[in-house]
Amino acid sequence: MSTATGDGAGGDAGNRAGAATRAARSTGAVAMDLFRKSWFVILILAVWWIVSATGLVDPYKLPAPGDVLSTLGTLFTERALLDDLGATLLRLVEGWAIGVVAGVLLGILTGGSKFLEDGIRPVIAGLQAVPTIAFLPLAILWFGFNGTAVLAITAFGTFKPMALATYGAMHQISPTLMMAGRALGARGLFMQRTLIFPAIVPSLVTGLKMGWSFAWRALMAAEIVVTGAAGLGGVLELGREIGAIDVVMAVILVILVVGIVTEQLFFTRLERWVNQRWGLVGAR
Amino acid sequence: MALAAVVAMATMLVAGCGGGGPSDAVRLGLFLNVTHGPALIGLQKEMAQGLAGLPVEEQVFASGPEEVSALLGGSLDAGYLGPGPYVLAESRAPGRLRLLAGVVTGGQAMVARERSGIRTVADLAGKRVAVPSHGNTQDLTLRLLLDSAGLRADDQGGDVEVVPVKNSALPEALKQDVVDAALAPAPYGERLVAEGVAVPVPAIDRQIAAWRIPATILVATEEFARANPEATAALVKANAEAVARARRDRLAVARRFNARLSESTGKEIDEKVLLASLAAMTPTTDIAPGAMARMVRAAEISGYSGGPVSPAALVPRPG
Repeated sequence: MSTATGDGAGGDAGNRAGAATRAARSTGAVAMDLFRKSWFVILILAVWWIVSATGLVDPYKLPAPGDVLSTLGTLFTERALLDDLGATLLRLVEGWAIGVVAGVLLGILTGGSKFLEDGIRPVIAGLQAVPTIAFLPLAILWFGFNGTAVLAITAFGTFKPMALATYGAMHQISPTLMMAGRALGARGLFMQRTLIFPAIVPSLVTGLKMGWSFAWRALMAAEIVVTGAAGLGGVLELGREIGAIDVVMAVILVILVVGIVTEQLFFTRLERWVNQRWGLVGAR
Repeated sequence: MALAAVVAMATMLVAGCGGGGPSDAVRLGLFLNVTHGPALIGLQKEMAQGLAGLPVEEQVFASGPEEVSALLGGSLDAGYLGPGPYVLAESRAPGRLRLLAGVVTGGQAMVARERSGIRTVADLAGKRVAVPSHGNTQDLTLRLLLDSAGLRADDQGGDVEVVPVKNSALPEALKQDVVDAALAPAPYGERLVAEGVAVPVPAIDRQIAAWRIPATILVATEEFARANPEATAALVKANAEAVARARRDRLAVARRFNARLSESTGKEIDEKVLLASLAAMTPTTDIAPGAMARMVRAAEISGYSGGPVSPAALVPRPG
């Protein structure tokens, strides 16, 4: 605290020391944060490397991490994996967006009408138990043996959890809030826009995340079967068919990285923004 | 907890790679294809009583890559499969499998949509051609055909699109113009022709026939063959007898195939179509000199090969 009244040199030295301490603490905190977030990945890589380097497992069954990375490089440079990644991501975003819009609309409709709820909700809940890929033969017949069938399956995979999440969110709206809204004269679309939609948005984010993961699963399963269409699923299937486990692992690695990046760059930020926007951060 | 999970996974992997002593059964893989006819009738007679005292446990597979995974993964001891998947396995896991004998030569046909204009290999330029799966015998044969005409597949920078289509989906793929032609294993090519979905392409079929590429070979895991020499020899002998019987009696093969198909799917294929398919293939334990080397070349052309294949692995080693 001498800096406020002490001589200038001593104050500067104190400031520098304080800044250095803070910087050291900050660097330490960053390192610690990095370690907390990466220790498990490092552990897996270490065990993987040890197991393959010691020859305990047949390289055909478990290629070394270096070999998988080298294959990944080859896939990007010689087999246009970037095109496949682009095709898959485009299909994923399109299918997910279609599924989200359809699911939210149906969820709001079933959540807001007893008649629709009684008729539609049990069917959607029942469909949730049917693996989306079971509909692929139908999709191929209706849309052809091409990317459109894959897109339809991806959208359908998103639609089911999204509709149920929206329906669930509609039923979690506080009756007091609804009564207050009505007492203040809110009706129809105005009520939907100003009261119901803001009330269900936080739950919808959970639905969006769930829909995204369901979309991935449906998409990969469909791309593996409809191999004529470009995409990561086709490359995964190619690796399986020619017995190239390094190719299979390289594609899994790409999917994992895309999953982590999407989670960190999009969903985590979206969740934070929604919580701040609708005041849930303060409520916690 | 997480550490325990990682260690447990590693232990499971290591445990899954255990060595093997004498077996208590011969786990034999095959496809429900007419090109596997000798295996189907052999299991009814020559192998039904067991091999050197070991019972035979049959496992049916839909494709060669799946069967190779089962062989290399240790859940199968021996199997009937095409030379394509065997060559690819040798390129990635050398010495793990042993080629025991040939079974059938021929047994694949090029068919095309009537208006596709495909009459020769050169006509495949700019077309879409179906094969059952990447890396299988038909895919590799197609690569050889393309190479012979100076063409290349799309995944190698060429303009011939190679599309993997399951045999059962071929009629729809051809009708919907998803593909222009298909190199199909018997009896699916003949069936497409009989049903009026496609027409044969005799010039290409003659070219394939001249290469005398085996449709089916018999392999065992090296581990099984070393630990069970008597059962392996008995398997080779039973295969030779079944092959000889299949050569003498095509009708028996056709009927056995239909009986098995009916058991698993409730459907049968017209006996005339089956007999036409069988007439276009030769049951033989011989493998034509150079035929397996062609498959290695095809694996290299396609970029599927994981490494060099020893010439010794291309010659049958029954004992």
